[in-house]
Amino acid sequence: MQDSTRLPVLAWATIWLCANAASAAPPATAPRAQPHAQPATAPAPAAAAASAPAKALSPAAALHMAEAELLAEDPARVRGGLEALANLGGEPAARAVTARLRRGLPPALIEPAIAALQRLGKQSASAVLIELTMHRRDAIRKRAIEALGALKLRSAQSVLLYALDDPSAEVRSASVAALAQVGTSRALPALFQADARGAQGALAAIGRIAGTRDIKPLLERAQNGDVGSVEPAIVQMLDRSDFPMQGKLTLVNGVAALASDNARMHLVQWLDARKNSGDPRLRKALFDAIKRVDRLQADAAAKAAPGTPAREPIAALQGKEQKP
Amino acid sequence: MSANRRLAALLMLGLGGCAAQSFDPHFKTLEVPSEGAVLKQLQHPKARDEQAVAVGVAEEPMRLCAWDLRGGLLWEHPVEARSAPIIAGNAVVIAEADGIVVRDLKSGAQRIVVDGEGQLVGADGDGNALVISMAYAGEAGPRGAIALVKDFRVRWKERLKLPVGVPALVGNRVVVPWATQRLSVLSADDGSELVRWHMNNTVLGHALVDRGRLYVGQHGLMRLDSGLLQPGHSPVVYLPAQRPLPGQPPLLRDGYAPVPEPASAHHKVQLEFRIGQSDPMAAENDLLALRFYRLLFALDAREDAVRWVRAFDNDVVGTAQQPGGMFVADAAGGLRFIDRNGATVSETALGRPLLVMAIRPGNYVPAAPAAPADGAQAAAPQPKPATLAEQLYAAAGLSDDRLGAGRAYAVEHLARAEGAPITDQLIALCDDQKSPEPVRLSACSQLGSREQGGEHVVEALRRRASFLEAKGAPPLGALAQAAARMKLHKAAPLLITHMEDPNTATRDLVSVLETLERLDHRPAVPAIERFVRLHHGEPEGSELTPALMAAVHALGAMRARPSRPTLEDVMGDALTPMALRVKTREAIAMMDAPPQPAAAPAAPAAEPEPEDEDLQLDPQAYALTKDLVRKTLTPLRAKLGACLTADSSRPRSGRVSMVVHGSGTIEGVFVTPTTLQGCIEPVLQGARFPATRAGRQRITHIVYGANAEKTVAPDGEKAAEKKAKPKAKGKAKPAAAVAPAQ
Repeated sequence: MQDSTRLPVLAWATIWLCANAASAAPPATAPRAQPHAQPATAPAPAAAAASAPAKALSPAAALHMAEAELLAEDPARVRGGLEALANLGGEPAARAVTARLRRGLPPALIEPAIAALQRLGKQSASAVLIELTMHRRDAIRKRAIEALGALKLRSAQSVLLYALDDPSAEVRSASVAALAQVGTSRALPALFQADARGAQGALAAIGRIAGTRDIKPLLERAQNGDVGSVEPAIVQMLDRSDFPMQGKLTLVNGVAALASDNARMHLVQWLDARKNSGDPRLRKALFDAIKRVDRLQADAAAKAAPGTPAREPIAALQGKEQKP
Repeated sequence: MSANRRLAALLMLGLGGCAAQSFDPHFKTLEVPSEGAVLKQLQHPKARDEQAVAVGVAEEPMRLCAWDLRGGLLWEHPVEARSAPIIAGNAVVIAEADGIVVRDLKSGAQRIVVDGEGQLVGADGDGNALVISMAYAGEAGPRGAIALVKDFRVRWKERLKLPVGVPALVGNRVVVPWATQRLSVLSADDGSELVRWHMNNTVLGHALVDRGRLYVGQHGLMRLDSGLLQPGHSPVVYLPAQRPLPGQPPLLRDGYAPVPEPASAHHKVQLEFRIGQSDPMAAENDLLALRFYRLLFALDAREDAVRWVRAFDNDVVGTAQQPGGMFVADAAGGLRFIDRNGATVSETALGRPLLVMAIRPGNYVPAAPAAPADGAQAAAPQPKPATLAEQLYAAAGLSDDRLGAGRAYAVEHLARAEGAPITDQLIALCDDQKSPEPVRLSACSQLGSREQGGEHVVEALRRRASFLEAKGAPPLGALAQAAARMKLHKAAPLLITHMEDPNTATRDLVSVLETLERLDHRPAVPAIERFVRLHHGEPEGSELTPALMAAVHALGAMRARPSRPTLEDVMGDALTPMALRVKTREAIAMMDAPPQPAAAPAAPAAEPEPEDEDLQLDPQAYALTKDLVRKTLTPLRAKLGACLTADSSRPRSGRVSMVVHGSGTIEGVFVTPTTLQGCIEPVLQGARFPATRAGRQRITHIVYGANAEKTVAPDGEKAAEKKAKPKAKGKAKPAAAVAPAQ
């Protein structure tokens, strides 16, 4: 995180440029074609400071100037102030943006304000971001939820779960994505329900936050051995570095136990994806799982119709077995 | 040209010379017979002895069929019908491929083609004499014609350059409305014009004879009597009570328009009535039959009211009034006689799918089935007849998109009934997303005007939209209006929740805010203030503008002084649109104005505001009850209250919305003010509700801090509250049956 006490000179230059650009932006007040025309509004503090040398600005003055811009009548200047505060960094800048957001802004300025808060990365922004998840505009709710996820605020999980019920599919998707970042296993029932209702990315989010205890309920959702219905979650769990290897092996064994053609197909795909990388224990487990599926299927076929030859190992698997 | 048509044309040429010149622009009233003498002949037509018959156009393949109402099928002939049939005397007149055809009622045999070019407008007959009017398309040449047929031969035919209406035959006289305001009486012998009246103040399109009386008119009917000749006399016109009707069918079809083809919707959306025999003139049975596809409304002729409504499986294609009831034919070939109260007296299956049916009942009225004689086996008990409200509700709920306007009409009349169950039914109709727009609009509009059934309104408001549970939002706008009208304070907390729910449609926010204002629900102030604060930067023309205006007005009208700084801030914010700034200034002025003296108590008693309405639960059975929620949250009360005390904004209360999983774990939590979220949410994570079978459930809980103060109600209000409290509490508590399942 940035600290205002250690702000590099380059950042100061950015603030100066932003303030200058913001003051020059509106053509109505300072048209380039009429250099001698009087501006319609009084010069803003940032604009006044633009003529001053950059080195003369103290952090407090820059903050003050940027805060003043947030109160401007001209949206472009407000935007410039937000940009300047985001560049300034630090808790005071976050408080200034938060305060302006709480006062209420036109929709076109809320998005840059949220972006500024996201850049500032301060947890103190959570209250206003949560408030914005109640905004009437879908786009603003979505943006607020994305910011809550990006800020990795664990305390936001409840709000994100609430947002899974949002009428806007985009907001729900943002909520699912944010839960994938900050969610815990508490979010799983709602995410499973969201998946059942067709929410995009819900399974991937489940895979990102599920623990080993969640393997069983996950595989129970693979109705009739259809692993495809939970595959995004399984792939995430197999790829996660923070998911215990023992859990991954349990997961692979659980898929093998389904003994369906579909399970076998996915096991082959997962093995294929890891043929040159990944943990050798996982590759071996996948290979063993495929063999187990073949065995289970052969046994089942023999029981059903005695004399049926067992399935030959497919060519793609020949020579893939690796020692851990 | 077919042989028949050539023959008819030759015959016409021959007869043309025989007919006297009528409809002459320079017609002079004859001395003999005099107007009075002609009128006297017309005043009391001889009652006709007519066979009770029905003639319909059946389909697949198309054929013309006739039934004796007392017997069975008379005949059936393939036909290429271009109009509905008209039963006239001993004949059936119908437009077919060959032209306007006269068929023998006894056998159905085609007897004569009266005109190969014209379109059938109307016909009347007595015995073997018929008078037929027709219209011609195109501006050049004649616009209409009238012909007299006797013993299946055209006796004369008169062509006019002006349109001819529906004629009547009275003895030896032909009564013809023409050119919209003229009425001529012709001699049936040769077509010569005997009398002509010009009625400047009324439209004449029909002349008709019924049970020994002659009527004329278009928008109403009047008897042709001597009063017509008296200078300055205003004829007595019978006109049933006017009212807007679905499909807007006229009282009588346009007397100058051709009879519509058999498959025309005109036959399915029609108003049918008959003048009774009593004096003064009144509708038979005092009712009008409005058929609207498969709905049949019996309308009170004297006032805008529905007497009964029946919904059939098939479209109604023909009706005929008789004393005591009416014949009703449907598209599947069912013929019923329904009494004046809407009960079926008799029912016959004609066995032919029908496009349209003309019914001439004569003097035949089917008798009700005889009661079983003593000792005979008793008939099966008849089901209790449905009440009018039940009939209307059933009609309003039919799933047939063609019926939209008819269903909306049923809703309108349903809403005229009083009582809480009607409110419940209107909520269901207003909420039915599958219904056509007119039905829902009508139901929602009527719901907003209800004054009874508050418990149903509250129950409906408890439902919240949920994507995960595939539940839609209730019809909030109409429910809010109803709550305001009923002064339903119990609804207010639920309205706040809906106001903050993104699932609530923007168009409904105005109603919600206006209701909160009218209920003067102070706990809504923080939520309204937050709404204004968050959204006041919406640009001019935003769809949120009306809601913002209503919100600002509500704060002013409720004298919400704690929100004054916010309003001042909104007014001073350069990015606030000018209209909202002005509105905000007005709201602040309202806050500052001295309070108005208390008005006299309103007539309808307001429902008391429950003191402890801090929980709203889903209405699901086997769900969390208030007691269970309280029991779960009571141990956390101190910690929750501390969150409020510690918050820098020092709120009086916090509103916690929770989604509780069926297992009892809390999933989502949303706290307002949102500054409390970080403190309250971890506290609630320690809570565990009992498991329920209801699945996910939403709960809203109000947390009060140490700095909260109870509003002290004036003594009078306090006494009223005390009186009402037990009732309100008793109602609010869930029944014992909703305890969670183990």
